[in-house]
Amino acid sequence: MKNRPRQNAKDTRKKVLIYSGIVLFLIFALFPIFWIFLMSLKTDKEIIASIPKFFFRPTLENYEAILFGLKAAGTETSRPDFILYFKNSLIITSGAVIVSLLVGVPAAYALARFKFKFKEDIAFTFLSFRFAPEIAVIIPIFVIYRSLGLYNTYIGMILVYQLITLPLIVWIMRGYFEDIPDSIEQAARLDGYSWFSIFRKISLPLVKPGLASTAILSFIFAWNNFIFGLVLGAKETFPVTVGTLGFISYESVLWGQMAAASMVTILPEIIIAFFIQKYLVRGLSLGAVRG
Amino acid sequence: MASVSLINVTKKYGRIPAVSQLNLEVKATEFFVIFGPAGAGKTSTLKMIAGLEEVTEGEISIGDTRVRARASDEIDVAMIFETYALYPHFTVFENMAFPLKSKYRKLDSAEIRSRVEDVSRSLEIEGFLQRYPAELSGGQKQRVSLGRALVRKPRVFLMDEPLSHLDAKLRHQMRRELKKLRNKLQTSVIFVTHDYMEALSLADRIAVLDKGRLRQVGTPDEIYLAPEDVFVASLFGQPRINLVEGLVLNQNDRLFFSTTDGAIVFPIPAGLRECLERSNLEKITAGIRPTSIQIIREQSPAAVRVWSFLSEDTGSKHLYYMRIGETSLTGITESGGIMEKPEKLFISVETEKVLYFDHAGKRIREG
Repeated sequence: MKNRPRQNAKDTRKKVLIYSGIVLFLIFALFPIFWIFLMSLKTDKEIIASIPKFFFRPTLENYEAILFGLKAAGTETSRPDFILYFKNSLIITSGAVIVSLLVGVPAAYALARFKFKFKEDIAFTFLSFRFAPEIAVIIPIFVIYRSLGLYNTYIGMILVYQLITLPLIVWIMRGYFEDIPDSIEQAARLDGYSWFSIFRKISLPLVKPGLASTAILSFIFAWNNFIFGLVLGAKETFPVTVGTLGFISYESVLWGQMAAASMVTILPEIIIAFFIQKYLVRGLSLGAVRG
Repeated sequence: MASVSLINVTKKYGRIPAVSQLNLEVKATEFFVIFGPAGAGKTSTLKMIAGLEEVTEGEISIGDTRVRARASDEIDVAMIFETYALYPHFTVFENMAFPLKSKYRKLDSAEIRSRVEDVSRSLEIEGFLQRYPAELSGGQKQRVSLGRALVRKPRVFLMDEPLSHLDAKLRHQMRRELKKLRNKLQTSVIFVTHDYMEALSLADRIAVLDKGRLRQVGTPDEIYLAPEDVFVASLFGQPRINLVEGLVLNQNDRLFFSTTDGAIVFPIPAGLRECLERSNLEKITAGIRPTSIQIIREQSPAAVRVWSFLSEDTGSKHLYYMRIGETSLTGITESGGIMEKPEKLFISVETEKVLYFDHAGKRIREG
């Protein structure tokens, strides 16, 4: 009883320390985004002002320019194609994640539950896709794509994005499936279900939180990719990451539009992360199942 | 309701045999307990019967159907798992209805509802039907898993240590309920346990397994009163049976058992004489259950003087750890035994209840 005030003071001090740490980290992580956001609301002249301005009259010119291709502040809009790139990114990234889920989830289940030859070798091969830096394999892939006619196609892009999304989904989902106790599936077997019904009715619903967080994670990884789009795509299939680079042109850099494009680019990730936050936290912090 | 037979069943994981050359015959409507210490191969045996594990050699059949692991045909057994194995994303009702919705049964929803409700009433879980397993206590989960098996009316129930995760009080209660249920069901039950009390109190017959090998099959009485060997004798009973090494003495044409230092001597029943003489055994082991040691305070012809002792009061029972010569013995009496430390303490052994084993550990039988 006696040392309660002191205990409280100690607790408070600890809390203050923890929270100030969190605040410091948030400033470190979020300030660049905040600064780009400010940039996207400034005119080019204000952006390059040698003393950065925190107070200015915000303008939506940059957004209008990238979204509707309007003339902004006397500068010719060089990239009214932003909408196309954004659409490309959406198609390629969601396509890649969907294909990876369709292929990777059953693969992960097989790796977690069944015994077969070369099982670990296959699993390792999936993981090894992530070993080599993309830049090391991009030239051969480029050559192959040219001869197969996959260059500058959505299908080609979705295929090459499997290098990013598939290993992630296979390996994380394998862990979730392994967390389901054998006895639950055995119980379902004795209850009179085939392995496929068990997969559909028992195993898959049990890993749903994990599935959601893994899908989001691979979506973000794929969305942020730059090099595959740059080399294997052209104007018709450029993802938004490559497209944003187009604001750097020979004669000038359109900082304001670039900033606006960046803000729009991160929007889907933020929206999805918010919607799925519940799953994300639960999926990453806890095991999938506790009976 | 079906019989189960195992013929020369062997199960190997890699090269290590978990079960070897097992022959069992479980009769229809029998409550059959498979008992053994950890690693005896009990659960492997059960899973092979369920068709969850492949049989390396031999054959298992339920009724006239041969069990084939991973086959798609239905062998119609229900299993209760040690860890309950409830479906966490289903409510209690859905858990119990799940086996009834399988393609082998496909009951209509009214029938499913009435069956689930009947069973849940009898198990007193009808109030929890809309809850999820995570919201239930251990005992309630176990009832649900029991209920999931009962709604099916299967040919055979398999139970894999269903009570081992419950606390002592609940275990006792569930044991009683299983017994009640067992009388009502009229279905074969194969029950795996490492708890000898469960085995003795529930079983019609018990199979004792050790390291994958069958040691003895018999009724609880046979197993407890007439164990085949030292191993079986020492598994049943708490505190464990006292195993005392000694010699056979012949005095005035009567046979006596004597410890090597001569501190404990008591007569051997006449019925065993023939066998002892035929096999010309000298060194034998006497198995004395703690319950067949009487603790007395007065000297008498049959009494043996205790050299030193320690007593422990466990409420309803009173335990004695005694030393007589070079022999340690454990005895047990009802509470209210000898609380103060008397100067002299004696024991007398109920000689007709002593079991004798030869040097290989086999019990020496009459005749």
